[in-house]
Amino acid sequence: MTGSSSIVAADPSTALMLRVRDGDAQAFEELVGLWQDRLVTLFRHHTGDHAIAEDLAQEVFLRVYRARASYKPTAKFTTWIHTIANNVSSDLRQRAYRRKERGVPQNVSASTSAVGLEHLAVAASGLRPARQADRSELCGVVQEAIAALADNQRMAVLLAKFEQCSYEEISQAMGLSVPAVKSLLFRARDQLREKLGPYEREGTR
Amino acid sequence: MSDRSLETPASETPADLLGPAWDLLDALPRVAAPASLTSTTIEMAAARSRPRPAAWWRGWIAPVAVVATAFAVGIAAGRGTVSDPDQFVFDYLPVLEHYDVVREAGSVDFLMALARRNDPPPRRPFSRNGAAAPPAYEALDAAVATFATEPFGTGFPGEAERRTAFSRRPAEDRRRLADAAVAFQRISSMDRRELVRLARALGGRDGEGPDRDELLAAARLWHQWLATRDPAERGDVIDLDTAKRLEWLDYARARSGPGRGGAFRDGEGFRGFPPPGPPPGSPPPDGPRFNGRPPFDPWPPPPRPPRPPRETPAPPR
Repeated sequence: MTGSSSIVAADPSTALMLRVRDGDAQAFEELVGLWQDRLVTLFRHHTGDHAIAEDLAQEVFLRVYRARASYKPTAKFTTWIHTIANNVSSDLRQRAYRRKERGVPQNVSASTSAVGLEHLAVAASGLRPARQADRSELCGVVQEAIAALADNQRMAVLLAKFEQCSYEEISQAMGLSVPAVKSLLFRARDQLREKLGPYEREGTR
Repeated sequence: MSDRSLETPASETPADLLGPAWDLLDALPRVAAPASLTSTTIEMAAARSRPRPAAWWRGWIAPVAVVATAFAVGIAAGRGTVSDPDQFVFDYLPVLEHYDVVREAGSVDFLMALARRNDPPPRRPFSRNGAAAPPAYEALDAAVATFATEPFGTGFPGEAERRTAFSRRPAEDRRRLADAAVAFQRISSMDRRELVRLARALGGRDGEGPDRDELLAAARLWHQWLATRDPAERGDVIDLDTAKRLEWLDYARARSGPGRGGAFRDGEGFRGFPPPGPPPGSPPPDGPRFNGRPPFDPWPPPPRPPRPPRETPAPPR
């Protein structure tokens, strides 16, 4: 069995993408159905905004469809779509940066939200962890902590957590080396530990 | 510190590296996309894959691109071809070396027409004081020698040597050639081709061309007749075309014939060069007329009537 045929056999998304490449509209619909929840989740926690997450997921699918003719199953479809997702995220970040340069108020991500950081400071003050945090409260605190990460750190953490990507897959999707990915995650861990330390000690499992 | 931590076996997977924070990330919910997302995505993909209607400006892209490309190619070609300021001089070097000679001779057609007429040389062609002066054929002979030996144009064997020799010539010499090149460029392209053709014919380079000896004899005869004119005014005759040159020659012969005042020279009864026109006594030309008169006055001008004697006023008493 060749390398590409083994990839097709192991990854149903790759088989769907090959059908899309050959002009099968039904396969594209199946592919969208298979991936839309995963991408929306990824972008939702990356941007902090559900509507933007849907738009970004849709943009990923449109780029996949536009590039269908050039698709070659030399790697896993998962890695390919993660690369597109990272590029879409980078484009959004650059557009937001340009809007900021032009003085246009941005509403893209909560990562730079001053309110979120204040809330985070209160949450990490040691007063609230004294009692058992309920699930929704913990969710908010973790979202704030994730939002406080740098964009590339956040993307690496989300790819690892929600897409179960290995170091190599993250490095391919983000165009980085494996040591660079490890460095990103290491710094992310330190920041998360700083923000979520009280909850870790309380044992929220 | 971080490098040491990354090398530990505990960082085999991202979950190991993130440690307790990994479990806290389970608090983040998995989000379900709305049911309409699939259909809207399919519709948008289908809409983008449809051929777009041509925008109004798309019809201009190709012509503008062609013009811009041609402009760029033209500039590049121009820079490539005129990068050497001496290239034009170098290309026409044999002609420019003897530009005055070929300009005086005119063209092959003129010299052949002159040869067919069998005109005699002028009676007193060269000297104002009547002393026998040798005909000034040195320039013509040198030009003929150059035309016979020097190759024309570019791409001949020994071109590099000629270029090197040219670059080593004195600045004054190169300036003279540059002036000749400027004058050569000012005439029409047809006249330029005629001069090159004449130079090749005088040098015997045209195997199928006219007889070289006839051309040389005609050129010498023409040089003699031009010598009868004041040097400062020879340019007017040289600038004439073939027909006008022959017409001027008829006039010059008539003026220098027996009983017509001798040589056709200033200071010997000649009152200046007349405007071009028919010889004296010929019927009026069938040309344009101005107010019923010919476009030029008859030559020589009719004698003025004697002026009446002036009446001297009577002296006051």
